[in-house]
Amino acid sequence: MKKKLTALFLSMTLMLSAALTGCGSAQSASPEEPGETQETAAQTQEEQVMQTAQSADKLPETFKIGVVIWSTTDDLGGASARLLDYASEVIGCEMVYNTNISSPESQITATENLIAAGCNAIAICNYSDDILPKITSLCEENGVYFTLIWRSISDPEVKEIVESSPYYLGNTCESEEEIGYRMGKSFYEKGCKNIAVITQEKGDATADARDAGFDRACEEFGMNRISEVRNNTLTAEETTKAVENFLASFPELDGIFVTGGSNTILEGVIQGLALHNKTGEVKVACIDFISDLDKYIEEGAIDAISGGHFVDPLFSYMLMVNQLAGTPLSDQCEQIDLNFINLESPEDARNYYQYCEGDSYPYNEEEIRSMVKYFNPDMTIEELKEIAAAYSVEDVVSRHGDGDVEDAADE
Amino acid sequence: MKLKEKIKIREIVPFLSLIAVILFFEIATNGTLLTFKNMKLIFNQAFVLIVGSVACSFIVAQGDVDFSMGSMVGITAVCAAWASHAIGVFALPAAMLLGAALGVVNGILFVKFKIPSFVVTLSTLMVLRGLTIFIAGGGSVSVPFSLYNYDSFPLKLTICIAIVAAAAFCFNHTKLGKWSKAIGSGITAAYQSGVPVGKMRLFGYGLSAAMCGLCGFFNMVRAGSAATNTGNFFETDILIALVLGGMPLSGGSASKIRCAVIGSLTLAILLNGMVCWNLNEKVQQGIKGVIFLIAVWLTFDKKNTSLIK
Repeated sequence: MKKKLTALFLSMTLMLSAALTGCGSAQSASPEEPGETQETAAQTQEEQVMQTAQSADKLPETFKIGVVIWSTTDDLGGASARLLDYASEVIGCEMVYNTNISSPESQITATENLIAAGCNAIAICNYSDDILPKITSLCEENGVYFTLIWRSISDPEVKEIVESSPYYLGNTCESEEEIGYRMGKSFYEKGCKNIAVITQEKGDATADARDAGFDRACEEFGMNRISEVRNNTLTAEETTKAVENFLASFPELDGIFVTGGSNTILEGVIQGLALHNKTGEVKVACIDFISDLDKYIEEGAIDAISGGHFVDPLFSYMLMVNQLAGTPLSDQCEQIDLNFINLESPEDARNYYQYCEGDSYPYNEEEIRSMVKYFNPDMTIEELKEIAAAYSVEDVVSRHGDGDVEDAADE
Repeated sequence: MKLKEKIKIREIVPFLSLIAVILFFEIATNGTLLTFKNMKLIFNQAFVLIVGSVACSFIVAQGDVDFSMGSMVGITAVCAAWASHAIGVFALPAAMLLGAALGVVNGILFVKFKIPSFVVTLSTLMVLRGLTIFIAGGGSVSVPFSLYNYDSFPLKLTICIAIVAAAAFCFNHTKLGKWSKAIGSGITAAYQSGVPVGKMRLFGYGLSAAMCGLCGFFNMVRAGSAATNTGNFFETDILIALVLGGMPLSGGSASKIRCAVIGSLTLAILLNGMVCWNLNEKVQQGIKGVIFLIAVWLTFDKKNTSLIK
């Protein structure tokens, strides 16, 4: 019996260890490189010079940057994480993500755990303003810098508390209310009158702002918000069912607005309309990009779409990296404004995926390094803001395009 | 003899698992896990889980379940957040009273209307979440800054010790615990022995929901707000913690309060350890699932498969 007990315990421990070890991330790989360089006696002088130059491309210390984000597997969250990983690889930082954030208290827990994991700075996509005082005190107690991503602070009292903290470096955000309004206006321009909305449960700062902008457009242009679905965990199948319910209940439906199409929600809408031969007849406007957009736009399955804001965390990341490297871009917290990208044609979508998201990144190694004052002493906060403000497909193509943009688009 | 040995294995495996998890992450995180600061953090995170799972033990011991605990936490937190602007810290007893009342409603639906517990509590999970959205005014409700002080380690530790001690005493040395376990072991026998089955079930749901009120209050002061999704997946975490702790979901005499404590600590350490170890976030959920499966496999009484009544 003792053998059985021992075997059980050992097998459990082994399974746990094997699983965890197999899945562990490549921790602290980069710091070994300088050591290896010194130890390899046979290296030529030229190689040593090259390695010295390479090491100068990295920050003097491997800073650990934490990110509190809803997911790194959906279209938006995944693209952002890939870009941050890429930037960290270029300048020599380590990224840690915490996606266990189903409620306000779990966002606090996620932040605490990242601090415990030794993060030097943390970027947070906060659920609402209300949790920020707590996060501020946590970061202050532990001497950890923090920034907000995709968010701005609207509550004046909270804003004052957070912005008075020396550990708060700033935020990157988009005009969510304005994009909601523009989406609403696009429905009006296409002749829609009765629109259903698929959105998040009330309380999500981003979705609420987009909703408010859409409502403003409805009021201004005399459109009706005839129904809505609010769910934070919608899947494609559930969204398809929701669309079928809209179609069955509201024959007058001529538009569907999706406040956040990431995580297969937009695919569910497109499928729901296609199943009932309503593609093109019921207009679809959505915020957040998904894959195969060129195909969907070409087929008329999507009428207006804005997104591309996966680069948002990069600018907050730069605020943190510059601070940690001892070359802060500003002595106060800063807000960096970013534009949404609007895709209107299949060519736009193809260019976007060729140059911005997918196999390529909107900023190459040189451009990423140039955002860090440690590598580029001329970098200023104004310049970083200008880079963010200039972000568009045309901007990326002008920097990375090889002159055959139209050819690529026609393929 | 064999049965006794099996019971012993089930009792010892959760404890050994907790030690294994602690040792593993202590090594993997280069000693970060067992620093005083991190242990305080883990306790802070495990507090509501321990309180919730200890209270839920009285329901599970009877062989029943409560899937509405997350929504209970949500609605009590939001109501407490509103109330806290007027009555300050007295929002805590108010939240517990509200929770107890809602829990009794759960119990009445189960006992008087003979609706299975999982159906009742799944339904109230949805009803209460809807009400929470309505009461929260569609967003989050902030709490006065003065209440932030109640998110304190010494206070939580004192409350936690008091609750666990009281629950362990009641569970092992009073009729409340003995009757609960008797119902889980065999409801007919318990009924024929004079156990007030209906009242015990009402007590179980009332107690569990009252403790959800307490958890809601502490979640609220921890986050500085209560929102429509406060307490989301709390019921899942409770069930995982109970299973990790070796609590038989079929209830009965093998139910122990320590299962709730051990399981809650194991889960909190797992979550903290995986982040401290910088484990890829994409596989963290999978790891949790594997560990849950192993725990069920090791502790589940396969002869008694009638899980939910």
